[in-house]
Amino acid sequence: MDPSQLLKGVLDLAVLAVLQDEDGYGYDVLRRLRAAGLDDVADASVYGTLRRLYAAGALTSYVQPSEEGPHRKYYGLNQTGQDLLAASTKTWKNFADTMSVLLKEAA
Amino acid sequence: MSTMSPAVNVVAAYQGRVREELADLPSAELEEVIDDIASHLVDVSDELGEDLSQQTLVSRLGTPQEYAAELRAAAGYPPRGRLHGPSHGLAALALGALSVIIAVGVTISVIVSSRLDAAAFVWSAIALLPALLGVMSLRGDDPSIVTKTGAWRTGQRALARMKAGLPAFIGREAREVGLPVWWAARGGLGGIAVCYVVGGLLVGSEAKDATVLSAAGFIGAFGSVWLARVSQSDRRWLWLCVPLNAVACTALLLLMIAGTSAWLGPGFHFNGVIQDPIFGGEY
Repeated sequence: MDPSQLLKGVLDLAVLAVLQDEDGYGYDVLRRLRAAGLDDVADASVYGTLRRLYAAGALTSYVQPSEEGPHRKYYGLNQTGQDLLAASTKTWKNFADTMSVLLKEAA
Repeated sequence: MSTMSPAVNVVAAYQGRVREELADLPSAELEEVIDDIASHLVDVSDELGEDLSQQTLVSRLGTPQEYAAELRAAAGYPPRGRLHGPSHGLAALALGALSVIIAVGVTISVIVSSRLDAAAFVWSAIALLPALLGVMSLRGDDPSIVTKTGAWRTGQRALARMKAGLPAFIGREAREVGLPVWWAARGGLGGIAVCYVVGGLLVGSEAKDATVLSAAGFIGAFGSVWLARVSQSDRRWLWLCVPLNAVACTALLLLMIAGTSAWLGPGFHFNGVIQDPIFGGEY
C-alpha cells in the first residue's frame, strides 16, 4: 500500500486538524504535519490544499509583515472550516471503524 | 552583473520557473500563489542553509515542473493548457451578471409601471442574450471555471467574511435547511414554469390545470434535489444546475409581477388573452 496515495485522500482533514489548534502559514503547517508523523506530505500539496480550502470558504487568511524577507500569509479556520472539520472527522472515524472490522475478519 | 547573493539567485530562478508553469492561471490567482511560494522558498532555503543549491532545492521540493504540477492538482486547478485565458471565465461571469441585471430591471419596471406589455417580453428575451453568450464563451469548459476568476474569489471571500460574522446557528441552518429548501423551491418553480409555458404551447389548456401544474412542481422539486446532490460530486451536472437556477429565478420574478396590478392592466395576460391597449380589442 502506497502511503502517499492514502495521504492524498486525507490531506484536507489533516490540514484542517492542524489549523484548528492554531493558525499557521504554509511552511509552518507542513512542519506540523511532518512532526505529527506524515513524513510523505509534499510542500506543494500543502500549499495547494490551503489554496483550495481558502477558495472554498473554509479558511480565513491574513498577512503578517516581516522585517526580513517576504511577509507570511497565515491561514485559520472559520466557522465553515470548523463545520467541515467536524463532518470530515465523522466520515474518517466511520471509515476507520469499517476498515478495522474488515481487517479483523480478513486476519 | 547580478547584485543578488547566489542563494537568492537559486530561489528566484526556482520561483520563476514555477511561475512559468502556472502562467495559464488567472493573473490575480497567479500572483497570490507566487506570493505564497516566495515566502515558502525563503523558509526552505533557511532550512537548507549553506547546503542550498539548485540541486539540493530540487532534491527537497522536486523540479519546478513537478512542484507546479503537484500544486495545480492539490489546488484543483485545471490541467495546464485547459484554461483558455485569464479572461475566459470572467467573460462568462460578466455576461451572466448582465442578464441578471436586465431581468431584475425589467421586473422592477413592470412593477412600478403596472403595465405588462409586449415591450416587457421583448426586454425579457433580450435579457437572456448575454447569458446565452456567456455559456457560448465557455466553449465546452467546465462551468466551474467561472469560480476560478479573481472577481468570483473576491466575492466568495466577502461572503465568507459576512458568514463569519453571523451567529453559528444561522450558517448551519442555511446549509442544512436553507439549501435543501432552495433546491426544492427552484425545482418546483421550474417544473411549474416549464409545464405552463411549454406544455401550454404543445398540449393547450390541459397543461395549465392546477393538478397537472402541482404534479409538475413535485416532479421538478424531487429532480432538483437529486440534481443538487449529484452535482456536488460530479461537476458535469453543473451544466443542468445553472439553467435550472435561471429558470427558477425567472419564474420567481414572474410571480412577483403577478402580485402587482400589472397582471390586470392592458397588454398580455397569462391566461393567453391579449388586450389591445390602443383599439381595446381582445385576441
